[in-house]
Amino acid sequence: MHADLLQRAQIARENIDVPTFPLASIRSAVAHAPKPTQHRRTIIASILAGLSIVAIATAAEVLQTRITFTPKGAMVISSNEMSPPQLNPTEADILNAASRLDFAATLPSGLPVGTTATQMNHEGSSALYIRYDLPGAERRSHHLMWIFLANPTTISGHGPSETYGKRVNQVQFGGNQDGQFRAGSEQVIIVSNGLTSAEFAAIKASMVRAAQDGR
Amino acid sequence: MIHTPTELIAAAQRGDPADIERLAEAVWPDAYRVSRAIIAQAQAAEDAAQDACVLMFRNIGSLRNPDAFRTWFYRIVVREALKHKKLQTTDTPLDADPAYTQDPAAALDVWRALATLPEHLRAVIVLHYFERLTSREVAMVLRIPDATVRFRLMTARRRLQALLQTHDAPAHPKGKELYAR
Repeated sequence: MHADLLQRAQIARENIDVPTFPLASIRSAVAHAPKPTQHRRTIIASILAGLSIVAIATAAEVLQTRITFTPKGAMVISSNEMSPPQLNPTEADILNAASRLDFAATLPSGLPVGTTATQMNHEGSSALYIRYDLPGAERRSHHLMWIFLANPTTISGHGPSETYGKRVNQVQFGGNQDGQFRAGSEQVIIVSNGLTSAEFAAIKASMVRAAQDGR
Repeated sequence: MIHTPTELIAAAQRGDPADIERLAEAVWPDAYRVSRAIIAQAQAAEDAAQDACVLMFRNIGSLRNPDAFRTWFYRIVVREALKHKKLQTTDTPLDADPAYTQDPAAALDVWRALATLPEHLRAVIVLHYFERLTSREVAMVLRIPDATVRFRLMTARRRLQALLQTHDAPAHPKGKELYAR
């Protein structure tokens, strides 16, 4: 069994088509990724940090924004930097908010004609989400769509870590996640009950193309 | 099977982006293959491999021993692949994916069988049988005891054996079997 499995595994491995090395995307992601946490400290720095309760509390507040998914597929955004929603944002408002993000944001595009932005929230500098009103009477009550633009580092399969007393805000979006994809160095998540698969594909194609063109 | 020259790793550790990019390009095929074998979904596997390369890019300087690069990088790849797998609400059916349907029958059976394994068994099988890591190296990558790796390999082999034999079994009895009835 061992030799047979080894042979089969090697055949299967060799048959995987490896895509082209995504150098441009990696460069972009490296340029916009947050600085890694400094793990190695000098002994003196460690002692000073250990003596200061404030320093310990500050270091413990690790969570800023995190996006997790429940087993049923619902999306949960946890953040200690939640901003008040902005109603009816203009294109300039969205552009302005996107420019403050800590990753190279690709703005939503390829939306169905007549779609209007009705609300915008940003969670710290790592995630921005916009609520849209989709056109068309055939959608009836399923006319809302949320598009999340997030730094991929905020997305985790695990629950949020402890923040040691600091309040964490959580928003949960029900389990009708249409899909998610990567546009350059940004993770895009679309949640809607009314979006058709063709419309989703159009948005995805447009945003991926825009990310590749550096728009 | 990552076999990267130590000089390339040492050069990358000095922090020159061009050297790190060369290293990332050298390990990209392996990163993608491992991700693909764990996730079984092309786009997610590409994202996971890309994230692993980005992490490697940012953290290569913190790697103290260049000889440990292989296990260190596999650890990053497996962790990113498992993270991306959790984000997949539904797995793409294997038949829907051209990379699988182009495979010879033997390979296709392996993919189908592999897809039935839970993550912790799939990771050890991929590292041991696809990437040819020893059980000791798999233990270092997954940060679990060597004995646990060997136990998981045994468990996974038993499950795969049952599945692959089912695939291999002829649909109808032939020859002597037929006449013996």
